[in-house]
Amino acid sequence: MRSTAKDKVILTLKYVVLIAFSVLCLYPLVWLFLSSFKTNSELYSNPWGLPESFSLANYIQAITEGHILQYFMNSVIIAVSAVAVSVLLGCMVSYAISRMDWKLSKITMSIFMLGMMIPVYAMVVPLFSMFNRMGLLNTHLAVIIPHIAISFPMTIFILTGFLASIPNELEEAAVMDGCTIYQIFFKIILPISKSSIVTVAVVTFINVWNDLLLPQIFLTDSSKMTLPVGLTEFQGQYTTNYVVEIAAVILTIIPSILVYIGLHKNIMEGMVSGAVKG
Amino acid sequence: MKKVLGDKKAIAIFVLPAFFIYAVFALIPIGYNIYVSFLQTDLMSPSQFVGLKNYMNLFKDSTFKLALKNNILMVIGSLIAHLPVALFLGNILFQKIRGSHFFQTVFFLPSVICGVAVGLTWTFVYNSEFGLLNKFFEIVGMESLQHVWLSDKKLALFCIIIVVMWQFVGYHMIIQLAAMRNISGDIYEAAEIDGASKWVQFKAITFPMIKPILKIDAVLIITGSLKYYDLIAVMTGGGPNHATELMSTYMFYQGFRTLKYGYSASIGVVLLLLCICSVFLSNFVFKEREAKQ
Amino acid sequence: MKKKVVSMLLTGAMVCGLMTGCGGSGSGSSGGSNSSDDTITVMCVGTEADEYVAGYEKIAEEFSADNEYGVKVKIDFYENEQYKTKLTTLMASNAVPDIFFTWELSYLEPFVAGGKTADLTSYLDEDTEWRDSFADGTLDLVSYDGKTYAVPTQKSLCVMFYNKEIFSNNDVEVPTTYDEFLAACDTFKSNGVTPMALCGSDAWIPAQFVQQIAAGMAGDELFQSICDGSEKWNNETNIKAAEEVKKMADQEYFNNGFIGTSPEEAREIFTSGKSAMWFMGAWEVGNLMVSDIGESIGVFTMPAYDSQYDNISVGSIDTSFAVSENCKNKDAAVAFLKYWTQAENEGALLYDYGRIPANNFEIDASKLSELQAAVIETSNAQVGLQPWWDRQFGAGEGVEFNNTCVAVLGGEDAQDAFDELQQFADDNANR
Repeated sequence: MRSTAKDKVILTLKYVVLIAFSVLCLYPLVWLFLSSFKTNSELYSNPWGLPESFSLANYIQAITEGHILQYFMNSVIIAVSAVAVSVLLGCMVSYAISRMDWKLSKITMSIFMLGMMIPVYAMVVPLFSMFNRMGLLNTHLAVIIPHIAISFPMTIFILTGFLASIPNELEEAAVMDGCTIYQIFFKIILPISKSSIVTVAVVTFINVWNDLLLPQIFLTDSSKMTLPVGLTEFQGQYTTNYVVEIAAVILTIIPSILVYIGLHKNIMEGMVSGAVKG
Repeated sequence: MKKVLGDKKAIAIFVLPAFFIYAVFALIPIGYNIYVSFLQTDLMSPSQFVGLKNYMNLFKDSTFKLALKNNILMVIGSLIAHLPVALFLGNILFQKIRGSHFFQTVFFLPSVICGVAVGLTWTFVYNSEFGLLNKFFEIVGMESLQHVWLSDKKLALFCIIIVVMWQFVGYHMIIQLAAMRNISGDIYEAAEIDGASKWVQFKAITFPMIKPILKIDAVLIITGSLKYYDLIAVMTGGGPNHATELMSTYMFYQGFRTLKYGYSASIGVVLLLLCICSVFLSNFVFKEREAKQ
Repeated sequence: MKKKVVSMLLTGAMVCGLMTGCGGSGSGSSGGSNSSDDTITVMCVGTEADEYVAGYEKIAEEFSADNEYGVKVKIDFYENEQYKTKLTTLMASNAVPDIFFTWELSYLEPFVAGGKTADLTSYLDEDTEWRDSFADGTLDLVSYDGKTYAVPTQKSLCVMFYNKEIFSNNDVEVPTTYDEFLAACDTFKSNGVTPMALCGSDAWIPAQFVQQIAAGMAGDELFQSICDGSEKWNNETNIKAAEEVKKMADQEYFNNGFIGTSPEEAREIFTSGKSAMWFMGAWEVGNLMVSDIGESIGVFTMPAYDSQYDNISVGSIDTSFAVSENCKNKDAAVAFLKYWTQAENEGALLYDYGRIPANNFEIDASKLSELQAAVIETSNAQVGLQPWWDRQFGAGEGVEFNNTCVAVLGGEDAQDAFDELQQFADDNANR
């Protein structure tokens, strides 16, 4: 390929756009990160510059007084269990819908798709009443179960798209070899769907991890609360001591970023191979 | 083959657990919500069946109308940022460019952060005393542009829409980029040989090929921005004087603050209907365009 | 197969539960916090940053250590907004804790109407000494159809806190008339001191100031007429009062950018000596006493616009507690409330945290700080108290009144804003 002057200009422009947008994405976070080391008065007097010292005082206060670690553990428990169940059951349904022969499969699919439209807060009062009767209030299950239920539509939507694209020969060969349907599913289908599964897992994880409403209403003990709720409590308590609040926000952000960076390749792969076939 | 894939017991085992959870914890609550929307009730005293009265009241309620309008603005803002803008960025990254991996990571980053943290981050940015935005105007000597951003009823909603745009550009960009990567490279090679410019390639190959995904993405964007809740809850709580009220926050307010659950439920139903409409709408829009070509 | 049957049964049970669920009288246990018969669960507003939380917990501990019912009392504290959400959800699903914090008047009313709260009248009648310890009329605010459903533990009113040092540095005397007040503001303004700290981000705070000015223009009569519906929200006085406050804002009598200032920031502006005055509920005394300028804070009643209405303040009872109808051990719950409202405990809350008691008892003046004594004196000097509009009218019209005030301060025409409020009130009655 020849590289003309015009190409160079275009390339430069592209980089300008990309870098400008990267700055837009990163700067608020970097600023927040730097601010988390400042003292409150520094925040007002010197909002742009580096902090005078990288003291961890704000973080220590956020951790000890804000119970951030506790909230973090709760968030992990809730998100991981919701994702695990949702993905496993979601895969099973998707497989049955997209590959197996039964009359009701189309209708079942439609019913699940309806769920994409459901606003969660319209379910809160009835769910509260149910969980109260089942004695599940103030347990992590009360948050996990509805999250599983509302994650199905998206999971099934993405996975059926991928599964439909698998060639029939694969299953035919397996049947020839005498595999049962369960063996086909667990030994063949699941492994080749790995990247799509990672994608739905990440999407579900992000939704559950970020949710504010359900834990706020279904959990009462602060020892069971999740990170987003913990952060809103911060807002009430330390409103003038912003730097501690900022430190807490940073502590909340870091794990999501790490998980994301770690899985980034898988997510992209999953999106490319499956998500988009729908 | 048929026998294996038509095994009724296996189908039941595959489908029923998920369907059970879904039906009990999503469909029944939503059904109950629809039922409540025909009542005048605080869920404590005996409730009264009022037919469609709640719905008729909705359309006389100026706050609801405002919330509806705000929601529509939110949808429009998201559509702009998450379709053309995201597509533009995605297309740049699609053409092999150095550092593509890095940019993808950076752009996607905001969408993995929880709404509450994003909301708090931006309240700091918008803070009138030490916030980035006002300090920025101070430095460049344009103090007249300084505002009490989130408490100014003319600006607050736009401030929030910008955050939503910011947060999810990368997310939708990745979905669209993934779709582009799925297109076979041969087509582009052929186009390259024919001397088609990048723009022509985009118009003639990329766009039509990823259209099905764009349709799905549009539905995600619309339903997502209709259901938005936590950012508003953290940043303004719907204030000042309902200026940033969305249907979701107004529904919450009518239910959990004024205890008019029937009324609140009817807002939920309207929201549900709007979401369903948006699916048909985007089906329609994308079909229309296909027909034209 | 067995599992399936079980799950079918479960579904059935849950569906039935839903159908009869809300409105019926289920067997909800208390508030999701695992409480057995010998634990009384209390739900209350507060966060770790609130000084009084320790005081409340001490009362609960002491009661738990020794009481004739052998019960333990556990208080769960929630942040204000979170509390409101939680309580309404608990109410709707019939899962209220044994004792719950409540505001008076229209906040408690739907819970009473829905049969969620226990009638405490008989307990009060049995122990007339307890009943009579509450100041005249205080129990009326938590009584409906002549029956009392809650017990207040605090009295509150809006006062003007001022910084004595700033006043004397600027040669300003405590204003006794409305004009003197404006003149004082003007002096501070021209001397480069912010006259008043005001929070605009929480709508009820500017609204209570507007209500106070309106009270000074038309007294208690206006309040009563709006309550009984003979006067509309968009009456002249409300509009004039809102305009008056807007005028102060335009004169820059409030801190810069007050419309976005949070309650805590406003307090900070006052306690860091940046403003001369701060109009707030007397409950702030506890926080003010531990602040840097604690020693030099004084207090006065906002002088009335029309001096014949002096000493009518926005104020009411506060931190009332109601007992749930579901409570299994109502006697013990009431005993706890009785214990709380004893002179000894209310006294401790007063001396340690500056909470003005709702009931009458001999106050030991020697234990009061100067500021506390001044607040008590101000409180006693009031000839009338008007509950906050958002307590009188609740989350609908009351909160809309607050929003209306903010709208006016944000630049909307007062007449239009209050017309809209009246429109809302007319529509809302019917939802």
